Amino acid sequence: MKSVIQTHGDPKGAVVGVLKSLLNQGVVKAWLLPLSGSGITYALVRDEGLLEKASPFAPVMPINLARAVSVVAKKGGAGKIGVLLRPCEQRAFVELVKFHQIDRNSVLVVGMDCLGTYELKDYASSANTALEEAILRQFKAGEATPYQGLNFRKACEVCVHFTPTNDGGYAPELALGLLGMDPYEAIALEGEPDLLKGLGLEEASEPPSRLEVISALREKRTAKRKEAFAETLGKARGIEGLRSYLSTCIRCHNCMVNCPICYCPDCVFRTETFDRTTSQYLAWAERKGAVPMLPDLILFHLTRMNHMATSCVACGMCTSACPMGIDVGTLFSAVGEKVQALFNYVPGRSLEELPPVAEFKEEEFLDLG
Amino acid sequence: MEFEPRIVGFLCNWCAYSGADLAGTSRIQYPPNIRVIRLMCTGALDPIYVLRAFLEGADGILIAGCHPGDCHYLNGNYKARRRVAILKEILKELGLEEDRVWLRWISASEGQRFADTVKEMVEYLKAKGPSPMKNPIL
Repeated sequence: MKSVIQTHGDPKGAVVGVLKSLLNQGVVKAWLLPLSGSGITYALVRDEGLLEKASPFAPVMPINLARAVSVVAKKGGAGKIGVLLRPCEQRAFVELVKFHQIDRNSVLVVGMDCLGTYELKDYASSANTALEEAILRQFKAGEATPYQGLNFRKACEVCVHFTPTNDGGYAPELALGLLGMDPYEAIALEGEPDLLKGLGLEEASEPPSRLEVISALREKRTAKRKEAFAETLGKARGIEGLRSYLSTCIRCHNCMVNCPICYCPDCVFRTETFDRTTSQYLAWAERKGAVPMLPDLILFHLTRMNHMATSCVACGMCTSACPMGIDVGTLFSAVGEKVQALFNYVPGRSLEELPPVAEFKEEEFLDLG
Repeated sequence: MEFEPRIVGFLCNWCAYSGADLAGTSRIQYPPNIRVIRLMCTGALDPIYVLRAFLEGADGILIAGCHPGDCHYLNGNYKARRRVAILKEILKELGLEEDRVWLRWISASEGQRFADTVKEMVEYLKAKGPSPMKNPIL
């Protein structure tokens, strides 16, 4: 069901009103969402009064929130937790459900359109209410222009999945439609009829301009994405290209830690699997003349790619987390897109489609063997 | 001196490894360029071991297991085939010569097929030359 809520110049207040109402009705037991204080803090909020501090539109993403959902709702069985997710977080949520890292029935998802987010350090050092207002004003025309002197996160600049609903695929229980709307006047709401009726909303259709704005933005972003991916794959080509692309990597593994898909607590790179004795290292040094230390830089990135590329949601948190500014995310999402295409798989599109590594067909890749 | 490629073979215990064994006991001649690692199933092969072999100096990788439908564990080879498809696509996109990774189905009775596969692969890699992935980092 579709509806529209009037915001009377206060989009945040209107959304907070919805969140409070769902909490008071007992639809959710608590909200997992960003709170603003001396910055942005994600929190599991039970206290209605604290919801006043909710910051649903702050254009920043300290972590991919799906990771926090998998912390709080992995086992489930204690009622529903409401969570406010951007589209890339929502896609990660869907993948983590399929990897049994989130109990689907314990979560109520509120999705939202997203025009882009800033790097956390840029957001923290700026007049952040101005950033928020600037981006809210851009939804109507659907033209994302970063605030003066800043850039959006690289992943956001080439994001093509910026709405929470997709044709026939997974849709969150509630979706906030901002594109093609002036959020200071009204926000489109789409979701389960019971939920919307419980909020006292009538069926109402969104303005037709909304769909036009969405498709125009998608077209523009698709072209930009293609260009960025081709450029990156050109730069990282061949072993020399790859080494040079990753040459400033300091092996901190932050890209892995912040990746919502890299959920394995016993990742092979955190174990002793590849620890060797001194005499083994000396033998390698003897044979090759020199062994890089720490070892296994290329092995780490290529292995991680093999393990998660099929489900990479292109959230770009790896790039944001890299202290050396390596654009890991564009490389991984460019390769990921090609790998996913082998299986006609789009991460986050559907809860029913199994991840490519979790199934097989008897009649496929017949030319490989 | 002619370039002699080094091949690392990941062979499943039930089919390809037995096939290699049969090639030996049948005295079938094949080039000594392959170093065999026995696995219980190709489905147990994580791509990390293939990548590691390349980075440590392999010129080619042969992954061989039971024919489709014949897996000792019912479907491990189908899972392996998907992983190899993913691995090869990644290597291809990064220009890392995915044609150095071969997946072949060799049954326990196919000693000749094993020997022929190794011969064919050695010839292919000789024509192609050494793998660039083993170059030292400095």
